[in-house]
Amino acid sequence: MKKVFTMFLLVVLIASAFYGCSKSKDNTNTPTSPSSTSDEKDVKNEKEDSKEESQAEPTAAPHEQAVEQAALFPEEVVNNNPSIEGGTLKVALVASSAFAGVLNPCFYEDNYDAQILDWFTEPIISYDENFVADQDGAATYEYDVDAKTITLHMREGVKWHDGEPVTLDDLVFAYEVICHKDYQGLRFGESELNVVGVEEYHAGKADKISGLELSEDEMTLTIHFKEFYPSILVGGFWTNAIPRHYYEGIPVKEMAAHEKTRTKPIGFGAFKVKNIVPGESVEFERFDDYWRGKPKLDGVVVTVVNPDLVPAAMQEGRFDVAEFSTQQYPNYMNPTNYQYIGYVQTVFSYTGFKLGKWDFDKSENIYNPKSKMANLNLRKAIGYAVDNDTLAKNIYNGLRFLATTVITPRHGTYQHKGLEGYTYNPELAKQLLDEAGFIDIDGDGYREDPNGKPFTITWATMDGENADIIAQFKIQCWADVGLRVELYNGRLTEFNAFYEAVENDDPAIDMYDAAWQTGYDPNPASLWGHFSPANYTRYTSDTFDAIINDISSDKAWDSEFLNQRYHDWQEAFFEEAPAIPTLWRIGIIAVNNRVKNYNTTASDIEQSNHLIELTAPEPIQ
Amino acid sequence: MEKKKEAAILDTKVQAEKNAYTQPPSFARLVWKEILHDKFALVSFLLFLAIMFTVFIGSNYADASEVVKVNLKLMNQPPSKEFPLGTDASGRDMLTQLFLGARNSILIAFGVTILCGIIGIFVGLVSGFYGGRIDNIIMRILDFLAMLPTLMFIIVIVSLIPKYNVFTFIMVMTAFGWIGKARLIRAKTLQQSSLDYVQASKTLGTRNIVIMFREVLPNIASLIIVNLTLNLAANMGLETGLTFLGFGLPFNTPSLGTLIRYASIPENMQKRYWQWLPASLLIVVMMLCINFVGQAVKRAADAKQRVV
Repeated sequence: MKKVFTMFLLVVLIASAFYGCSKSKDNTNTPTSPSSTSDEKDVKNEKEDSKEESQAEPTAAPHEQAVEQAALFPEEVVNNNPSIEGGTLKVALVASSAFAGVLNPCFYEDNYDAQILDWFTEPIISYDENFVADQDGAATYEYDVDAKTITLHMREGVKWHDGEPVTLDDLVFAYEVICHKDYQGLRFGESELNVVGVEEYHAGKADKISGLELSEDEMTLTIHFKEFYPSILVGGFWTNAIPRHYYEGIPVKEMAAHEKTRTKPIGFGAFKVKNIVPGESVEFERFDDYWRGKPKLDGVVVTVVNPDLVPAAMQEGRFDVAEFSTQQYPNYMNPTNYQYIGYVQTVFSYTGFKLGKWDFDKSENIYNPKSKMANLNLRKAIGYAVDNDTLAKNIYNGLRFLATTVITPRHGTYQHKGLEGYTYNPELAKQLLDEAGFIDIDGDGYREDPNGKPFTITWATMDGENADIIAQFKIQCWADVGLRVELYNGRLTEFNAFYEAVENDDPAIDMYDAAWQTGYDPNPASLWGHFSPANYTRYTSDTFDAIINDISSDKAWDSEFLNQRYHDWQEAFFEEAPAIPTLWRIGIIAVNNRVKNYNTTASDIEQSNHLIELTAPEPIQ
Repeated sequence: MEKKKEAAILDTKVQAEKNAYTQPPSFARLVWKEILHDKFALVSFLLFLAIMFTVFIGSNYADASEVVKVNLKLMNQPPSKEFPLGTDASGRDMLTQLFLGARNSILIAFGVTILCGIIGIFVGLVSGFYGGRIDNIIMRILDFLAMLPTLMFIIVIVSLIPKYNVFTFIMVMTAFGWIGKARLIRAKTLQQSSLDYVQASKTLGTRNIVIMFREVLPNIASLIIVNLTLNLAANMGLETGLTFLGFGLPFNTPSLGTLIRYASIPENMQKRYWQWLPASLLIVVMMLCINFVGQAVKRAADAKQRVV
């Protein structure tokens, strides 16, 4: 009996194997599967054209490639069907690990939490397509360059989810939290210190921030700045209010971990949180008193899904909206039940070098010129050694591009287009290392440090889609120029653990790969500034300080001067290389055909979540 | 009472007569006979030998550092003349990976089985032979260890060790694998040590260690061999399973588990059979082979089940 059974098992296995064969053949033989709408076909054709083009013209600069590629994807979904009443939008939060769940704009640290926050809260000021503050938000503003002030006026009738009115006192509260001496999040930086009185408040010398002048009715707030420069209008001042009445009595130290942040957060966005399964999913319901109007959907469910499973999940109609992997995109170019929209992200990936420490007491970065990676030639060689272009083309199918600077194509006006960046040049890398004295003495194929001691670089990188392939490829690239690079802890690091280690300057890490989504403002102060905790490289230099000070000064109202300083900054960054920018990216989002009025900027600059509609009760399969 | 004694005497007489005429066959002979008789076991045995032979010879020709080298220009190539089994998502040849992977998996399975066997035999013999307080102490420790959620511990340990490779992996798996073995051997030893030959040997003043390893051990050897053979298959499965779940060997150490793991990506499952099918088939075939041979060995060890 047993024998018969095992034989049966074998047969089944072999049969299924052949079935697998034939299926794959079918797929390769049919040239294009019929697609439902003509739009999708167009996208595909255009896509192919562009491929030919890029082959014929391989010299197109990366920033041009980005714009070209992005033009192939529409920004808003096309859906002309009549919409239904209500319905629940199923949103995928594409992540390899659970989300941290720090659901407070002052405390959240990663993009996953930011994506959740977008559904239930918004900044009180809204921004136009150039990321400049406009008058369409919950508050309007006017500014006075000479007096160095911004005056905010809150609209009437904006309510928190618990029914309390949103006042500008809530914004003052947000400032008081961020600038508090016990605050350990990322948001406290140079742009906060630029507000009059913050320094005294942060040092504990004052109970209030003297530069925040609130009117009697709490509906008008005047913010006094020390320096008044254009960046301030590009997201350069804090505009995320948090409810003072809700957090009453909770010390700043405990806020990030408090249940009011983790499981019962409130905001004043289009949807309110109904239920949170920590790390897994968040259920939202419509907020009827939303100030822009009653949302059309009944609710939204955001669920974590592994990137590998997104294509299958979209085909089965398990989600309405999911960020789609650019790596998997070529296999799913002609979807029948969903469509793609895309945009150039304000994201750049980079390889950063750990060059110092964060001083918690003084709140500043301390550069250590004796640190392991302090050798400039070494850092440059590491940059030149990696073939990022091949990575972008083969792994990301041309939807990521070699980054030449840390200013993304989305901020094209400030971008230094003349910079070549760290292109693949192993010979130059070898030469740089030779000059710096890193020479292979014992003949094992790896270089020793200038003192002749074995030299190993510990590199932290995150786990994720195909991360092991990319990591292996980069390690190979570095090995080719003679650098021995080992993974931190011998393996890829899980997202949350990675940032935990990088943020706290784990001494074991010499080098790390991460990515930043820059805010609206490309001002380098927040990511690379002397006093920014988010400057994970901990690198500071006089040139950097001087340029950043200029960009954050009233001289910057002269746009020519500002542009010049941005160019200087990018050149200096290239020269001093505290980090090597590696890739820019286009994001594509798969949207089920039942969704209407969804666009890529829905929660980015334009608040239109309340306008999203559905045209069928369940996702189309 | 009288009758029983008579019967016993009669029994021993019969036994003695038998011994006088035929030498009892050795265990190895019995196993061989059993395998020869069972065609399935014979084919399995030969097939397993062939696989081992091919894998170990073949993997000698593969350059390990070359095999794991990522080549982005050759991603996901279907089988062709150059790459008989195609390439994976990082452009690495699947055939050489299969050789190295199979070798690593087999090494791990054998390593774990043998190490577990050695520790289990030692602890089991000591515990069972001395009995009493020593037995009690050892068994309570074993009870405690057996109570731990093994799989969870392995996963935690694997994710904590900074540099792990085939060797550390064997160590971790062994750390939890020997407990069952020790219990089994202890039970058998307990049974044996109450028999007359042990008592006799003790009276003659033989050292305990000699009795344990020269007299008791050979008597329970057949049982141990059966158990270890069947365990070999289980250990191979455990390694593959852990690696499949992502808690096994690192990316650049191919094993059958890492190869089968390609199937966890739906596209590979549906469209790129060459990435996961050969390894899956190999594992099924090897497990079945070991099991069939194991069954034959088991029958040989038990007079009641013996076919020949």
